[in-house]
Amino acid sequence: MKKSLIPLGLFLALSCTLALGLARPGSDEVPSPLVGKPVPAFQLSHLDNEKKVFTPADLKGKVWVLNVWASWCVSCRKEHPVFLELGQRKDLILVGFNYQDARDSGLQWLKKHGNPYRLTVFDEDGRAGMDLGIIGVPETFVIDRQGKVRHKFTGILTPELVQTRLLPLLKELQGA
Amino acid sequence: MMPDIGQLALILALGLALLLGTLPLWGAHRNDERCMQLARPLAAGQFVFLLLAFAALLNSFIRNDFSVSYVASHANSMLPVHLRIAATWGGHEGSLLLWLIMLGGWTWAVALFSRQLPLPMVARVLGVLGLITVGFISFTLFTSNPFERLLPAAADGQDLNPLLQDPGMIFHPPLLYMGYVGFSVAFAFAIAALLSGEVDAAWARWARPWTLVAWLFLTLGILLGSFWAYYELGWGGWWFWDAVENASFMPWLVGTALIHSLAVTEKRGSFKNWTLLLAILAFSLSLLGTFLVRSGVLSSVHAFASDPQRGLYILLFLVVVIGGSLALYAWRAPSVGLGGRFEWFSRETFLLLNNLFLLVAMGTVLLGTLYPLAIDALGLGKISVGPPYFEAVFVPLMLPVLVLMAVGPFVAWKRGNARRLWQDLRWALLGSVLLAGALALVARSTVGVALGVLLAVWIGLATLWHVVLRLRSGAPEPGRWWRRGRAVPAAFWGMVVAHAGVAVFVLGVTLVKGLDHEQDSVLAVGERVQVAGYDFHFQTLTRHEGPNFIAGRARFEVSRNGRPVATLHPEKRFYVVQRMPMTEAAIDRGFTRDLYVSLGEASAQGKWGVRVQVKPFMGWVWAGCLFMALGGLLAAADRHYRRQRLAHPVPRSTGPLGELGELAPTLP
Amino acid sequence: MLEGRALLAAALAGMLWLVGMAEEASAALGGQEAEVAQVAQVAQVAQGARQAGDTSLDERAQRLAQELRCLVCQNQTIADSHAELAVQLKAELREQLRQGATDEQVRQFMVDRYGEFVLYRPPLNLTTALLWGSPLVLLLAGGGLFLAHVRERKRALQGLPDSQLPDALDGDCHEAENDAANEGRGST
Repeated sequence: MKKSLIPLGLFLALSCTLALGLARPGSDEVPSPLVGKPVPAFQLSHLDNEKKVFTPADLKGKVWVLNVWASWCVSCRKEHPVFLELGQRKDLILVGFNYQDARDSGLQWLKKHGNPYRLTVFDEDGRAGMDLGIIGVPETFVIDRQGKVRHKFTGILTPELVQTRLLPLLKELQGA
Repeated sequence: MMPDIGQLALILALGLALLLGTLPLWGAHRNDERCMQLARPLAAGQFVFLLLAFAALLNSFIRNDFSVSYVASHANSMLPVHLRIAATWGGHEGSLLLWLIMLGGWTWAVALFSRQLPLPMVARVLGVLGLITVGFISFTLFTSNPFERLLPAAADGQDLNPLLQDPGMIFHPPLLYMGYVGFSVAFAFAIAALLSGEVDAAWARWARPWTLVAWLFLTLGILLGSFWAYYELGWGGWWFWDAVENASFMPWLVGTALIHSLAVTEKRGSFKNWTLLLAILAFSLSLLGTFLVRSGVLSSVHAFASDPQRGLYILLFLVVVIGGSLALYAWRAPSVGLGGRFEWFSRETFLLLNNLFLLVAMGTVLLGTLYPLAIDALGLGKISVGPPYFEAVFVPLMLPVLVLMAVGPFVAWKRGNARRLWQDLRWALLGSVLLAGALALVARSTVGVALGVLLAVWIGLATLWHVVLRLRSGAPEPGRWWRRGRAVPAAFWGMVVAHAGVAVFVLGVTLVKGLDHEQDSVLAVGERVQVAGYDFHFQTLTRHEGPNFIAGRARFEVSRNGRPVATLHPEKRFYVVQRMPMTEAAIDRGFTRDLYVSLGEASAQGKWGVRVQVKPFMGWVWAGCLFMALGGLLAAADRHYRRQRLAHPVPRSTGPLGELGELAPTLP
Repeated sequence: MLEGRALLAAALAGMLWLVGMAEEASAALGGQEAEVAQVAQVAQVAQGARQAGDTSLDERAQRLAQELRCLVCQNQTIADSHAELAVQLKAELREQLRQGATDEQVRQFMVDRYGEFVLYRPPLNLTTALLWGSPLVLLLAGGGLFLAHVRERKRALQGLPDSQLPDALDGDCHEAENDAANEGRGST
């Protein structure tokens, strides 16, 4: 009697796994290995000025948010109003990251849709983006005073996400 | 109007299925002949209505009836007719209808071809099939109704996914489903046997041809899926251990174990419990495959649009069907008899070993497929389990099977003779070692390739020798061989052909994986690239319009040592309705190699990314699978399955080991 | 014994045939020396930055690329995918290999940026211990059950006389006799 119960037992274990998989569907987003680590050092020129260069060390001691966008990205246009609002806040510094674009197109886009960024860097070939583990656009990083990446948003940053995830995090980081 | 008829037909089918699932089973339990007699007509009736429902959906597609939501999301007025027919099963809802007519068809076939079975058995088998049908029809009606209307009707449809717009799409799902659903018959036989308490050699003899046919269809279905992926997806691969591919492969592995296990039960009355379990397992894996593909727990290029609610329904269905059958097994199995005796060195042991390795292989594939899901669900992160893992674990597990496959047929039932075995096999062993060794030296191949060739030749030679032995025994004069060949049962030829198919397949896979050459280049029109001694000249690029796409069509002239070999026309298509780009590879198939060219992206300077592959012996991979399927067909066609009157008796087990019963003829 | 020699002869014939095939295949794959130089110039134009003698680097890059996942595709390696990110990553890894990085270093590079998800061959750690260990564990468990079952059944059937056990006829010889009987009846 005992041995013939094994298949049933195994199956019930399997069903639990499947039920768990159904109940807690893994999100499509891939967790970033950068969270908790120092933001990768990169050196990129400003979008509006080739000669000026930015590196993350420049913002050491400050809490800042890096928003990756491109002029060819439709979703970026959708989330842009959120950043227009965020750009007015005092508790963060908003930095834009123009990813795999043409300088003119990038500047045009900002002119057309508004520029909330303190500054925007230009990554033409995507090499720096690779160091940041960027898979697509838009993506948004939150970096703390010590220069560590604390969170990465993949996809559109919705007002809801701002309320539930971004603002509480900013509060925590500001207090530190 | 037609969609409404279809809807109604589906409901009526459900009603009949409910009757089929209850009355005959009750009749068998109570020995009520009238209730049992209802099984066959009910099976026929449910099939008629299922066919009607399917015909109604087919009709809606052909007529471009965009008032039906399902048609609107999967077809378009520009879609050619033959693809509109295939689109019927291109999506989740329609594919369920396809599953249903397969199920109805198999049920009806069992009703038709079961004259020699006792009525209670027929009633039980059909009853179980009826219950499964009830589950599927209710799933369709309540969560995935293909006849749902779109009001107001769409002006035009969203077109079929371009990946599916291909003749392969017409045949791959039906063949595959014939296999999946076919295992439900073996399952029904197993449940019927457990319910009645009568499990013996006769039962195995009844169940085996059904299982063989289901298995061969599954083989063909998987083959066609791979064949199609090879030319359709444009990267030259044909098996990726993708979750959905694994979902079809696991029932195949268990099905293979099952047909071998049934052989033992049929001939020796042994392995009864194990065979029952395998029959339940094969169909369970078919159902599990359905779950994985439609519930959204796993993302895959094959998966239908995900919907957790549907997933929940299927999971519950799984728990009821599989859990119920395994519970029945746990309850009844201990009282099933043990069958014949056998020694450690016997064909029975070899077949058990075959089963062991096949099942362990299935287990590792299952684990590898579900692992990322489990890890993610437990919050332990996101990992990928892909071809490197599967190949690393699957291949070593299959090596013993391949070695034993050649040996097993030479070992006698019950008590084998080791010395005789050595005498029988030593030439084949020598021959294969010599051949593989020579090849390894000449071609300077890797150990892996040499090993693969060794195994393939080993199986081939041993199988050949087995045929020689069989044909010559008792026939000293030549000429008698041919007559003797006709007297040998078809089941024997089935085994021979199937095993030879495995050898061909292994040879093909070894050589194509070990010796293939691939090169990515960026070419402008007029440029050429050399791969593996072939010269590929990118001659022209023209614009070309299809019924629902625009394409850039390249012409490649392939030559070798200055002599032209082939002209290939790879395309880069853009499907206008779904706005989706697709690459159509161009393949020149040959007996010893495939030449494969596909276009990638166009660069800004007007150059194109081009991938060229030279794949040795690729065709042997397909041929091997075809032989396997043919072997299954031959085995299923063996006359002794169709004999009504039984010539020689084979006793059923008695006393504490089983029940007395009738007898069956001796078998190869 | 005639059959044995016939089989050996067949094996030798087959060997010669396959050797012939292999010669052809290996010649095709190995390439003839004289042509390479001429063709190299044309090939260079076509293949951009590739240089003659890069084949082993290409092979390494290809093998590595086949183990890495394309993150913007459903389920494909960066070797097979035509997606822009995949092409970029493939070029990046090739460049790193060219500069002397080991396979492990390249893999670590990818994992640092994209996580373990990017590896199609899961790393061996505590989380994946069950995954990598399962084939052996299952085999041992299955083997154990198999042995136990056969032993138990032998014990159970020990004392019973043969007459009470269902016995089909033994081995091949009887099968062949059955064929003869069928033949005699003129049936197939």
